[in-house]
Amino acid sequence: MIPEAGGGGEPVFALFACCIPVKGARRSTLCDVQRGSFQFIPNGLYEILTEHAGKTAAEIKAAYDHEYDEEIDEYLEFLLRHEFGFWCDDPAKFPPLDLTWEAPERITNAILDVDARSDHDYARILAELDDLGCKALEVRCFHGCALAELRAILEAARYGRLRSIDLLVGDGPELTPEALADLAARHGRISSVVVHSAPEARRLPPSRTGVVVEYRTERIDSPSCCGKVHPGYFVVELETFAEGQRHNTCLNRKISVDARGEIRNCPSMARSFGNLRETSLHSALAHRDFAALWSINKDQIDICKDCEFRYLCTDCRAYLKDERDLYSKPSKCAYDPYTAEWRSPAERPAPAGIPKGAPE
Amino acid sequence: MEKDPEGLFARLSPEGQELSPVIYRHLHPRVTRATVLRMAESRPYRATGYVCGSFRKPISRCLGPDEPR
Repeated sequence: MIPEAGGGGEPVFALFACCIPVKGARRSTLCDVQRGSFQFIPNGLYEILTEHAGKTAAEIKAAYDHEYDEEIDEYLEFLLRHEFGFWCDDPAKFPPLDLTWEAPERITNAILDVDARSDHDYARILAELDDLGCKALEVRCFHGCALAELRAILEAARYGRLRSIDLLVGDGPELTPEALADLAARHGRISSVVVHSAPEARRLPPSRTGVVVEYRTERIDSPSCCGKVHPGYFVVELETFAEGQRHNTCLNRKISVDARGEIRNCPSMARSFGNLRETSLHSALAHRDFAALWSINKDQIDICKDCEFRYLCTDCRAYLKDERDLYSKPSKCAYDPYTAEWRSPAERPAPAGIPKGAPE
Repeated sequence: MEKDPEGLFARLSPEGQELSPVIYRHLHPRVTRATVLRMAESRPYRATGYVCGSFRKPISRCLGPDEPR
């Protein structure tokens, strides 16, 4: 329902600044970076929200020669019902969010790969990551991991600056739910634990630490398992959305150490910037080419630039459709923005992501 | 402009009232429920700033879609 004018002229519809429309080739998304959700909208509604922003309902209807009056009312009703926007008298008082992305850390996130033959100096790696300001670490153990090994890594991080540690570890007899819950209780930086190669899939209810422990049957035995693109990995939040405007949301400010100690942008990338036995993370980061891929954003990537998920998706620059083209689409992405279809049903967004009453 | 013309603060939940204060704006003579909710929800963002928030994106992506249980 269009409200009455509030003293001045007729009110106009304004989106909340945190609700940002993103146009795709066939459909668009309305990304709510505050509530962490998105809804599909037709490209017609995207056009209304962008090209006709700041106009009254009557002006929008007139712009389409009153051919779609009913649809426009439905669209506005939909936006109000889902709390994407509001009626106001002076939309100039509600400017869009500044999507400039900045971070004080030289490195924001890191991957540390471990296998049965690794001989990492955890204390040194963690100390160097600290120096770089790294705040998030994922440790990937490709083998059946012993608790003592996990404890050694976590102890090295105990007094550092890391804010979160994600563990992806191979199943082993010691990795019982109780042992992992105890580990999470002792190390408050752990934010998630996934045990791969487990005999059966199960997700344990969150303990009082809030850490989710999950067992998966998938076997993760090398970096080549990485680079998957599916809605489970979509991130709808302001920092990633803003970062994605100008940066690569996977590689930007990332550093990794593979199982042999090679320093790379990510363990799946072919290029090494030296081995930790001979160089430091600082030296690798200082290399002229280390940050070269950080600025490849989704608006530059073939096909992705037409995808409505482009600022929610965290990309992959290691496995590409065309290995010779730096701007090629991730090879493990099964979504076609031109048909709005996923190759496999399992990769479609969960039904909850599609609103009842969403305009067609 | 009045600071709280519609008694918005009083309409927030007790938890919402304890969050750090924000400046309320009178958006429209008919304040919708959405407006009230949005203002309540924006409070943590205003308190922490998004740059300083915790890390929320996946660092690597080795796992497939959720397995059936």
